[in-house]
Amino acid sequence: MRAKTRSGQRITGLQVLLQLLPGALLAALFAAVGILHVTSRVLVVDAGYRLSKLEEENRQLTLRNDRLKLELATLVSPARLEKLARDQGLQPPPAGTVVSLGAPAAAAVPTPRLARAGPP
Amino acid sequence: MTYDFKQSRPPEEGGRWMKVRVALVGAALLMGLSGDLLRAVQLQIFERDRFRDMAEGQYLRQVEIPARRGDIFDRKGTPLGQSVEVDSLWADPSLLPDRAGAARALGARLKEPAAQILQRFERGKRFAWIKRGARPEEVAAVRDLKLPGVSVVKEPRRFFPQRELAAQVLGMVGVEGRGLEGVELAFDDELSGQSAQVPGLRDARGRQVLTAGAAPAQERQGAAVTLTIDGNLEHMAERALERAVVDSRAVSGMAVVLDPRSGELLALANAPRFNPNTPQAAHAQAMRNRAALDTFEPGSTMKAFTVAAALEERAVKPSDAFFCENGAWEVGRDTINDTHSWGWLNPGKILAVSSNIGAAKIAQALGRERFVEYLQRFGFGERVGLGLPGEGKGVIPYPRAEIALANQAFGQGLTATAVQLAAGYGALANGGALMKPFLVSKVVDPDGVVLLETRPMEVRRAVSPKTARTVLSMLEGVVADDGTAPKARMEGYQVAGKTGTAQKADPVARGYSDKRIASFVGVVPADAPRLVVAVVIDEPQTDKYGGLSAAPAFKEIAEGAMAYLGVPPSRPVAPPAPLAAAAAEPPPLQVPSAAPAPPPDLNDDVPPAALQPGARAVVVPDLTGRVSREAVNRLLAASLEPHLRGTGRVIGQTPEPGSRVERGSQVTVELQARP
Repeated sequence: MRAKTRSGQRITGLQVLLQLLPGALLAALFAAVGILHVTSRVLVVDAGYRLSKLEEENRQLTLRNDRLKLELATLVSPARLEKLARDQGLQPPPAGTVVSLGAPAAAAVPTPRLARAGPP
Repeated sequence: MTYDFKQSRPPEEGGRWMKVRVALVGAALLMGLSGDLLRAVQLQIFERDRFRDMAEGQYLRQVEIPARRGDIFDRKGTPLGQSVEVDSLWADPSLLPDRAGAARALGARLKEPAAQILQRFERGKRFAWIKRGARPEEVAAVRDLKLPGVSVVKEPRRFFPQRELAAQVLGMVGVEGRGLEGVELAFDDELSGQSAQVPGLRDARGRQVLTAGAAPAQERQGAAVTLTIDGNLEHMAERALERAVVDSRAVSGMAVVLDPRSGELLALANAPRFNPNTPQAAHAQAMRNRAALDTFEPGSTMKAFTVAAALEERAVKPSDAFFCENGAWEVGRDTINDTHSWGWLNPGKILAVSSNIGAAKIAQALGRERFVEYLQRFGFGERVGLGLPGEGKGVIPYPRAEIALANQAFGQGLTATAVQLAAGYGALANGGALMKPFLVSKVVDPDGVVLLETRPMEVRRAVSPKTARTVLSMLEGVVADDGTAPKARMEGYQVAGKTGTAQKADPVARGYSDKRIASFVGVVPADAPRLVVAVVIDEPQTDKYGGLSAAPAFKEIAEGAMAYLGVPPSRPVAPPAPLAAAAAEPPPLQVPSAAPAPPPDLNDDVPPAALQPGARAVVVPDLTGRVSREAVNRLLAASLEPHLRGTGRVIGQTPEPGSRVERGSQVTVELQARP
């Protein structure tokens, strides 16, 4: 090619473009990869912000849930319920007035299942 | 269009020198580029890790996400211990322009001594706690001060929503989130969970950016511990125990409610109580779980085991009579006394009136080796193994001297925990099989993996079912009018139990003091045992006897528990034969008619109710017009099984009134509310 040029052969613009094309493509590829990388980083950071926000929201909701559960457990504690009932004029039924029939409440104390015999 | 580059160029002057210059510049550029390349290789490849760490150190932070401590539940899932994040106030003292002024202002808002806050500021250069676990209004008040360097951080704090309920069982958690006592300490590793460290960016505004994701919430949650305790039964036990301790002006008290069929501890009550949410306000002794950990000399409640061992070994028979020396018996240089002057008594009566001399003579008949062996069979002298730190195991010294054997026969000179005592009675109630008492039923990871599950476990057979039932029927005499604990008798339920009034050892004088430990251990219903309730009152001042101070508390707990658990009333039985014993009668080989009637020769497979004299057929009562409760009570009194339909008053019944049916038959009762 060089030899032909020295010999006075003319080079067309298309040939110039074709000569520059690989470099241009390489540059474009680099640029595309760069843009892709930066975009992905931006997306990761954006997701990180959202994750942090959601994590904080989750924490707040968990905290609120915990507090509500604590409040519920406090409100239904036997001591408090008994006090409220007594304030309303209620009292435990006298002995003998509660008569249970049939099978006792299995849920209260379930029938035990035996495990293996222990060491003597 | 064509263009000749060659022709457009100006003519070169000194073209050769130009080539040299170009070559030089090219070489220089090449060298420079090579240098850059080498440097890049050095930085990017050989020193990559060091520089990456340096860079990440500048923009990445290890964000700690604290673990959430696992909850503790009772057997029905009611939370007993929960963790909630609260605000804690801290300061960077180096940023405070006027530390003393800031401490004064903070002290006034937080109602804490300013000197203490100032002392913390002086001690910490860049960090000092102001108040951990501050209330929201306190945080708001401090924020209003707008002090530089004062910040708020979230910290998990343990709360006990049921307040005093089972406080000694649960224990405490320190401000650092570590268990200090009780279940909180015993299962600290499981409850704590793992704090997560995740890398995160911190941007120019100081905001956290979790670029590497967050640890799953389940990994940061501690395991949940489920106890065998029933919150409602625990409340009943604590309420009754506290009343008994106050009424008898005692130092303390403990109560144990146990399911004899499984060994589950349904309640472990201690008095006085304390609020674990504010442990600093409580006395150290009040925080101790005495019922599970402390050993004491149980006293006469041990007589049941002495009699059970002697009956099992056939060393005595239920009909044998022992002369109780009219209240005083010399054993070597010592004298054993009874509270009353008794003559000839059989084992059942010895238990009913709690004769020390009679129990000592039964132990003599049994022998030392067998006596100690049977106490060990009932679980005494070995640690129960509840998993709580500091649990006592009790001591059963070998009784070399006669007086030691006599003392141990009625529960002096040996020690046991209240749980051991309840478990021993549980063995009698469970047909002679000793079940292992347990407190923690399950430990479950947040992801559902069961780390620990306790199932009912039979430790060993202490005595045969026949012996167990015989002793239990003898113990029913304790709550009779002439027994030591008529105050423990219940309406509708047969009770078998034993009182105890033990002398307390005086460690200084090396003997026994005039202080007492009063107790009552009962099984209810005695005909079909569902619960063992042990009540122990330490140093009662008003009524020092177990039948007076502990038995009423037993009755209160048992009555509430029977109604709560829905246990059907005991089948009515014929009243027991009179237990009058003739004092100072000649020693009979067989008990005379005036002596206590021997317990029935119980067959292993036949329930006591079916052994009552009389025909098997009963007459169906007329229930017309009665309310449901009256109808049920009348049917139960007639040994018939009620089956109700509807509500209101009785309008009909099947079989008809007056018809004769077999004992235990079902009677269907039609009820209707009045219009």
